[in-house]
Order: sequence, then C-alpha cells, then structure tokens
Amino acid sequence: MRYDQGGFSVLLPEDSASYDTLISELESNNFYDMNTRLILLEATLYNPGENLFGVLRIGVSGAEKPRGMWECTVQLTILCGLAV
Amino acid sequence: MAVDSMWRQRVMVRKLCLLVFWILGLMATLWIAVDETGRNEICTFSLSGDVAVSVAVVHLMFPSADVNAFRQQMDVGILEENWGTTYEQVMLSHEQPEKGWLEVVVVTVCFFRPQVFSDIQNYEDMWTWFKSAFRNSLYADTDSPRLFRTGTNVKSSWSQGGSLHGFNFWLGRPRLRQIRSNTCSFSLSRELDESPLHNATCFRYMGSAWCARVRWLCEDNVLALLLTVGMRTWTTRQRIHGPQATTRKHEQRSMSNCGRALMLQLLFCTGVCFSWNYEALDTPGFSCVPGLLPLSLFICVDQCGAVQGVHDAL
Repeated sequence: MRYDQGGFSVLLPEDSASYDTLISELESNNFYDMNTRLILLEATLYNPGENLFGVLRIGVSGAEKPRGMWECTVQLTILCGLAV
Repeated sequence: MAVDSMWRQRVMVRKLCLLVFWILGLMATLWIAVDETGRNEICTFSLSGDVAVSVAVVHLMFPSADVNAFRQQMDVGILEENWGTTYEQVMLSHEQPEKGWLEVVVVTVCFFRPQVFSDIQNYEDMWTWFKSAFRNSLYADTDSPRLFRTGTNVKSSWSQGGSLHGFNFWLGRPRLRQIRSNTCSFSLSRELDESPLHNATCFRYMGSAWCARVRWLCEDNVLALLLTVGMRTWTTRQRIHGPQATTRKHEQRSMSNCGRALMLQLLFCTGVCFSWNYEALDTPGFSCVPGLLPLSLFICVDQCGAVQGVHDAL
C-alpha cells in the first residue's frame, strides 16, 4: 500500500520549552487528522564508546484499525562501524 | 595444533570468502569512481546497487552483548520510562530471537524485528507519551536542573540531555513526520506557518511520471549516493522538498573529517538523513571516529519503503 500524498515534517527543537510549545501546537492544530495514515518519530543516537549507531523509528497508526484502536511499532536498527 | 585445526575447519573459508568480496567491492568501487560523472544518476544508482548486493555478506548470528545493551538502553530510555510496560516485560521481549546481521563493506548493520509498543493505543496516549516519556528522554530534567558553579541553571537542551544521555549523542534533531492518504491540509499548513515555530514542512513526492520511471527511487523526499575512495568523497544528492521543488546537488569534497563523512553515509544509508546537520556532528569528541576505512560505497535512499515496513508490521 502506498500513500503518495506527502505529509508534514517537523524537526524537534533543541530546548524543552520550545518542545512543549511545539507539541501543544501540533496537538491543537490537528497534526493527526482524518487523512493521516501514519505518524513517524525518527531519531538517531551515537555511542562513541562502542562505536554504535542506533536508528530509531517509531510508527503510530490508527488508520486501518477498528475505531478507537491504535497500534505503535518500534523499529530499531543498530550500525557498527567496522574498525580496521 | 588445535588452533591450526580450528583455523582450517572454521575460519579460513569464511575469511577467504570475505577477502574475495572485499576485492570485488574494491574493484567495483574504483571502477565506479573513475566512471562516476554524475551525468547518469539512475544508471549509477542501479549499477551501484548491484555491486552493493553482490558485496553484501549476510551473517546469521546473534548480536553482541554491546549491541543488546545499547538497544536496551534506547528501549528503556524512550519507551518505558516507568510509564506503561514494565521493565520485566521489556526484558522478556528481548529474549526473542533476532533477525541477524547484514555486513555491507564497512558497516555492520543489525536489524531488529519491529516490536509492538503497547503503551500508545489511542490519540491521547500518543500526545501524553510525547509530553512525558519521550520528553524526559530527550531533554534534561527541568524540575531539578543542574547548576553551573556560578549558580545559574544549565540550559535545558538535548546537548545536556535527558535520560538517554549517559554516553550517547543525538545525531541531529529527531524528526516527527506523517504520511497522508490525501493532500496536505492547507489550513494546517497555514496555521503552522502563522505560528512562531515556522518549522513544519509539507512535502510531496515527485510527479507520477517520474515515479513510474524510477519507482524504486521515488519513495521519499531524499535520495543520495555517497562514494568515498581514498580521502575524497563524491556526493550525489537529490532532495525533494516542498511541493514540486527539486534541487540537485553534486559535490566533491575532501574527506578531511573521516568521521563526518562516514556518519553522513551511515545516516543516509539508514534512512535518517532527515536529522543530520553539520552543527550536530561538530559535537566535541565527535569529530572523527578513528580506524575507519576510508573506502566505502553506499546507495542511500531515504525511503518510504522503510516506512512501508513499519506500516506492514502494524
């Protein structure tokens, strides 16, 4: 299934006060509406001690579930740079 | 004698196979480097994809303790946070067998099977999670902020960190995005534009004709090919950003900062090029990862295929 109609993308701010404002605005402005099929939160962490990259992708969808039921899936990919 | 026997029986064949793959990858990379002009990106993408697939070696093995520890740290920091699922449930879920490793030239990638996060089950849960669990893992505790010696508060930002900041760095800024089945709502766009934030962007894909021609590339708003040979990196990047806006960038830069170049490649390759920015990579102590081979070839598409994978799992 493909959803070709784009969507909104927003980078989370660097301080908690702006974050609170942003989340409140997104919620009050219906960031999730009837045409939203999937909301994704994507982030990447790096652990220099172990040289590991963690790529996190959290998908939240309530579009194709029975009314009122949502499901959230967490996908994590870890990469390790090969030292030579 | 025992070591020699073990080497012959278990290790030698695998190492020789890896050596052959490395040689093939090296030759292909050098050939593409010579031939790479940027005039035919699609051809380069396709050829590079074949090379990458032929060089890839799949190892079915369990991830190391370090990787598991890192994953558990992320899980506990972001998903649990004393909110919903208990720690024991998380640990039990980690006992499930994993998918395995995919070793591609210079990086080892560990794909974990998507997990269902049961704490978000409705609209209110999602926003509550954003306001509590994820916020605390992202930013420092504002209730009891740390102090400088002068008595002033340390600025609350992720550079000081939330619960995930022990020995980790955020690479860039996390991104929140949505996939829609209908065109972007103008009213929402206008409301966000009129807000003081001005940082929500509505993106659209390329036109249907272009997508039909290169359907496997037309999956999201960023495509990139990065090729590193020796100390130079070639980047071909195509960004689809905003309604029908397409910019192409072909650049060649010296890889004076090997850590940055490699991380850019890793970020692009894992579909997280949304969040990279150069400022984040300039974090002290993070300028260069030593010991990384300055030879790599990646085909990087930030794709909704990954999104599709998430959605298929839903």
